[in-house]
Amino acid sequence: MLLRHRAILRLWLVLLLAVPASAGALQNIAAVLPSIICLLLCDELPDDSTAPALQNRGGTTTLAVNQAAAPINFTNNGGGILSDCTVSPPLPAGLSVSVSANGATCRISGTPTETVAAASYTITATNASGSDQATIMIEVLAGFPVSGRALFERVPTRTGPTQLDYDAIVAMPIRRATVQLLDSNGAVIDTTQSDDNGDYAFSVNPNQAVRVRVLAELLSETGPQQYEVVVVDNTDADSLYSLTEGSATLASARAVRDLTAGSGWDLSADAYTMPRASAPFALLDSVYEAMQDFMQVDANIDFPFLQINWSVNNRTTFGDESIGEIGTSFYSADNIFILGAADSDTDEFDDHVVIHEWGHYFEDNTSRSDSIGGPHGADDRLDMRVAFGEGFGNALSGIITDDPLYIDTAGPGQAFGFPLDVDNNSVTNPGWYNESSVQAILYDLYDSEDDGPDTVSLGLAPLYQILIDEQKNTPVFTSIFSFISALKADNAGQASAINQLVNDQSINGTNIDEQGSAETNSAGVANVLPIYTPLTVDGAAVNVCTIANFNNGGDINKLSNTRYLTFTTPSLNEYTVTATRTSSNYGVTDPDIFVFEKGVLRILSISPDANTESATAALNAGPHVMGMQEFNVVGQSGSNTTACFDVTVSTAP
Amino acid sequence: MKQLSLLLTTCLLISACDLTVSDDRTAGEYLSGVMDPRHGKPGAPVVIEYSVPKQFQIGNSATVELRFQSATAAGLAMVSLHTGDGLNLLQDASFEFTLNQQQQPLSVAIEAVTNGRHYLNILVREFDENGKALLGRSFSVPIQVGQPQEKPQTKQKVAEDGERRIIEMISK
Repeated sequence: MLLRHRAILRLWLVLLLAVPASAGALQNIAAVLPSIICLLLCDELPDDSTAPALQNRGGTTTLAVNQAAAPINFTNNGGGILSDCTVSPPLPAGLSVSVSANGATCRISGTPTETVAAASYTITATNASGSDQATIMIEVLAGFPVSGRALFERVPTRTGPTQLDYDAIVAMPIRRATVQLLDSNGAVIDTTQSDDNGDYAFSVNPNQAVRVRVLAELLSETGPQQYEVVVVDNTDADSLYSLTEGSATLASARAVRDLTAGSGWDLSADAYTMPRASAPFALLDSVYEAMQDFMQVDANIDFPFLQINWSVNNRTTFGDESIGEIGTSFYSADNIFILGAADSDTDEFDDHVVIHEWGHYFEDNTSRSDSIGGPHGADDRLDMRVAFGEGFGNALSGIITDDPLYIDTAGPGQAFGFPLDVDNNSVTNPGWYNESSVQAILYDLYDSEDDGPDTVSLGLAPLYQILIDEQKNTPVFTSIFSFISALKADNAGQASAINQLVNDQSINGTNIDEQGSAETNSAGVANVLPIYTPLTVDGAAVNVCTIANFNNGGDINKLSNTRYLTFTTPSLNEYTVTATRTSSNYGVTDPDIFVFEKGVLRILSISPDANTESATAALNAGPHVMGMQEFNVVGQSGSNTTACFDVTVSTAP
Repeated sequence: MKQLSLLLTTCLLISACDLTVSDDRTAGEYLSGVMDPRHGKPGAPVVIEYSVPKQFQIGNSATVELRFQSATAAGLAMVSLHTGDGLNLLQDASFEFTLNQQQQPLSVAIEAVTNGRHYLNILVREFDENGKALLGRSFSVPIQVGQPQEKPQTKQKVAEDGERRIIEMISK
């Protein structure tokens, strides 16, 4: 019966309700209930006078297990109100088909509970005027795949002239970085890691709006080879850099999401005009390259936490690090600071610079360095501990990159700079006190190219073995002597070739031992040799002299600013060490004493007392080394800067 | 002085840490400092002492006094100067001096263009006696134009949710 008028239908409603309840009456009410509802809500009464005409849904509808599916409606061009919707074959578990609330179409809804391969389903829509069918392809995946590749733009260095080459920018993968999937509120809903190609993948609810974010972070917290490296902005509360999509978009609308961190360089403007997003990832990549080389030679190596601090504000001014006045790129206590001020000095793309600083971190944490740091230059005659530390950093940058040309760019447009060849054997002031000699030796030990005195090609593994074992545990100070003597012992078949390399740098490689006992190169001045002066507990005083011949003013890390002594304590006991001035040609002296046992500081005696220093402390039985330093040498330079001291070690009463 | 130096010495012995030698001395209207970056990355063994007006005003000019000293015994040093947008250089931007381990003075005339903390950037490149290029080094002398801005309150390193703050840069 066709009912078109509200007033008439209301009359029917009243009549139906007045009829005593019976099964038949109730069925009649149910049959017209949709019509009644529409009557109350719709402008016109529903019409089932036309048969349904469903449209097929194209493509494949992908759903995710345990992810509520957004309702899937079928377009009904027939327009008639439906009375029933069925499906064949049965839908995947958790899904069902029903007539939509307004009766106009069929709808699939629910939450699938199991994975199902793509299959075709036929929906049949029926009303009083007839029926029609439509098909849909549905698959249920463990999750909807969202994947892509994370890249950063690296600006390479070049020579002739030395500069950053913005015409040769190359996109490189962001390797092993933490990749996050965020919802539209910015909450992290999943985390993974990019692979060595920069690829990542997630499985997600296709109907959820998501965005991908890549952190400037390397993190491995389980299993062998654990590490954590972060790149932060030291001028913004150490905030962690990241790369992200502009906004969240429906997962199913964008399955492949490649991200690229731009360099920020504008070729037409010849300047940085855009965010320098790639810089943190270039730093991460250089460090990862170094870590990877060591991970390949040691399956069990772990790297302690490292924070790399970079900002566009980091410049060559000494001052407040929180505003970027860091002075230079440097390493300190598990932190690397890198310059980033454009048109002044930037180091994020100078990978040798970055790896040099990482080398200090490596020595500090994985090997051992007794370097006292301080000012140093290529031709300086340095404290041997400093010479080894700096030479190692330079050599390592060539080893990791397999490129001996260390390049540092700077200036307007980053169009200036200098190269430093770590494979250069022609060194000014060669010797065991010169970082250039150390770097040349170490690089030649590694590389596979024979040049000049170099016929050694050990690769990284043998060098690494010494660094983590004998160098780390040497009872004397770390130097080229402790390193080479151990390397020769471990690689006896290469001893002759190693000697040649070392001898070529005016170091006695043939008879080398960890104390440099046979060394004859005194840099042409007195009070340099012997390198270690033996001291007997409870024996006579020995006289050693410090000099400032090689100082540049204001430094205390030059050759023979510190003299080294060795002694062996017979038992665990308290011992007194004393240094007393016997002569000097520049007035008052201030001797300081440092005693180490296998790199561990046991006595630090640095009082301001004039001309004498003394301290008593418990020492274990065994070998110790002492550094006797004349503090006032800081203000001295040139010849006629000799100060001599009687040094004793005795059992405390 | 021994106390400060004691700390430095201790720092030196314990780790290869930053030996920043920046000693700002205020003498009247001038601010002096020493920039010695030689503890960090390799480069020319140059130290610069500087003396700048403590602050000056837009449109005014001032003289920055520089003193270069290199540990390189012989050769030539070429110096180039440049400023950012906040300053104008009022003289030649290039200068050179003979390397002989002696101090080399240089007076640099600049003009203030905008308020703020600006920098005079200095690039030093050394050459040996045969003209062969050696190493280089860069420096930035801080110069205050106008009143110093109040430093913004230091942000906590940890956000409200307890996690490290994150800087988001948008993909190309």
